Amino acid sequence: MNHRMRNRTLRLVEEANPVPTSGLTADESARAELLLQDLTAASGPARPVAGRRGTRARALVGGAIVLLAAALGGGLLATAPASAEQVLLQAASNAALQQPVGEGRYWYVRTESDTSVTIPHQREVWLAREGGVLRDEFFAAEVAESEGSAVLDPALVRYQDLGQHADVPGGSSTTLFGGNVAVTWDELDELPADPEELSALLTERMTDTSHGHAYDLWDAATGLLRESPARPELRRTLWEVIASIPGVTLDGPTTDAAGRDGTAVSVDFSSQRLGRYALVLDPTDGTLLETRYLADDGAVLSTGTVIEQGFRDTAPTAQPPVCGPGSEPERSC
Amino acid sequence: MPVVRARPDVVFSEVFRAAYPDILAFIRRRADPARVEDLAAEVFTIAWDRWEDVPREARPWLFGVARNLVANDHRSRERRRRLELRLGSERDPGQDDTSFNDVALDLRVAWARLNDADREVIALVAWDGLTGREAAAVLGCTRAAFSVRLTRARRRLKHLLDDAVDEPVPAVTPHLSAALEGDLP
Repeated sequence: MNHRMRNRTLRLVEEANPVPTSGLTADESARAELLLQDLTAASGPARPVAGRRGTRARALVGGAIVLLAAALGGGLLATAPASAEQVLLQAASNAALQQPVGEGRYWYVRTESDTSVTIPHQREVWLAREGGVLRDEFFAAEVAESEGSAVLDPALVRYQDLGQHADVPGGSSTTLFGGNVAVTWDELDELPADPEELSALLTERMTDTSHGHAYDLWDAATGLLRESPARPELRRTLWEVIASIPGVTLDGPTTDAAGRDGTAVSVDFSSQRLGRYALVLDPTDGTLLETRYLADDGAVLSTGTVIEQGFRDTAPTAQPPVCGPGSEPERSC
Repeated sequence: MPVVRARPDVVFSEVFRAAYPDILAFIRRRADPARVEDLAAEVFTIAWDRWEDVPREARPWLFGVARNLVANDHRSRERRRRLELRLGSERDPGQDDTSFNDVALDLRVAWARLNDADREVIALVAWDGLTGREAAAVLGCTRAAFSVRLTRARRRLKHLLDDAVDEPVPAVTPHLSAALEGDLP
């Protein structure tokens, strides 16, 4: 008993407690446990501390699977189920064994997307260190979906000049990768090969989206894997970073929209006002095949499938915007 | 010899299980019953999100977060209530679901006359079971300052109790909304 409660006045008030503290009911207890599971499984503490990170070690086992051991310090790896972690680390190890992506003036990526507001459509991008060209069928696919058509109107698809903002004050044509971490091509070559160092660097550079550190890291690492000319060593490290994100679970074998076999892993960001995000990967070579956004019941709401990646020496000539100079290039008049 | 630290999720789980019933009761004493579990969930979501910054002694910190969230919730409800009044809503917005139960009339009278700050100081000790050190942390003051405030509040309540006999009984709820208006520094 709090010694202050020996006071008669306080005891009177205590006896009038409108809600005496007691144990939880069975329902409250169940809901509390669910809350606890959601919190610790779907997201991690926002800012891991350097000292705690430093307690983790990496070991190379048989040259095949790199195990990121959370050496009692916990942190990023602490809650990732081993099975998802193994798949991701296998992908990491095998990604590092692939041939370098080659050379060329443009980094070309072709993806196919399917969303609830579009019919399936493609996006192609030719990225130079400065500027590039984009061909995105999104707007045409959006119009087709709204009109109930399965056919894209070619007049609504343009080759867009990505360097067009270079002459705008504050504008830049420098190509940036990784979404909210905005890594330049030169910086891409210098990103650290150590997962802890890379994770720290990405964390330092990322713009806080208010959806939590785990989501921001997932978004940055996924973006770099999907649309950058990352060298094999960097791809390995990016998979290792993803393996370190708390709450990543193994969803198992699947087939992507292009019919390729892969393995799905996902993480639930619903506690961060988002949904469930999944990656389909080929663990045998560390290729990211597809990104998915899922409903709570696991139904696929949208997909982004990487069809092709590689260097190109040339790019198509950009076209004027649909509505003429100065207009929003991808929109109709 | 390496320092062995427990995993954050393990430590957090222990803190969660130990403090959740107390935090839930703390909120239930002060907030709309329909919002109690949502607010408790918000307390622990904030705690997990900021786990690296949460003091080693997490309990007072959790109560402080709960106090701020309840205060914000009161402000939101008040804004909605004013809007409803402006819109001519017929819903009675003044009904609180929590009230003293089976309390002597003189205590109800005295409690109603006590200012909100005094009520909060007393309630933290008498209802929430906080120690002086914990309550001081929740209010963002020193232990000595809290002790002074509690002594004064207790003395004022005692005087009011002594004067309460034969006074008319006002409508009383133990809500501490006014006292909760200020955030922790």
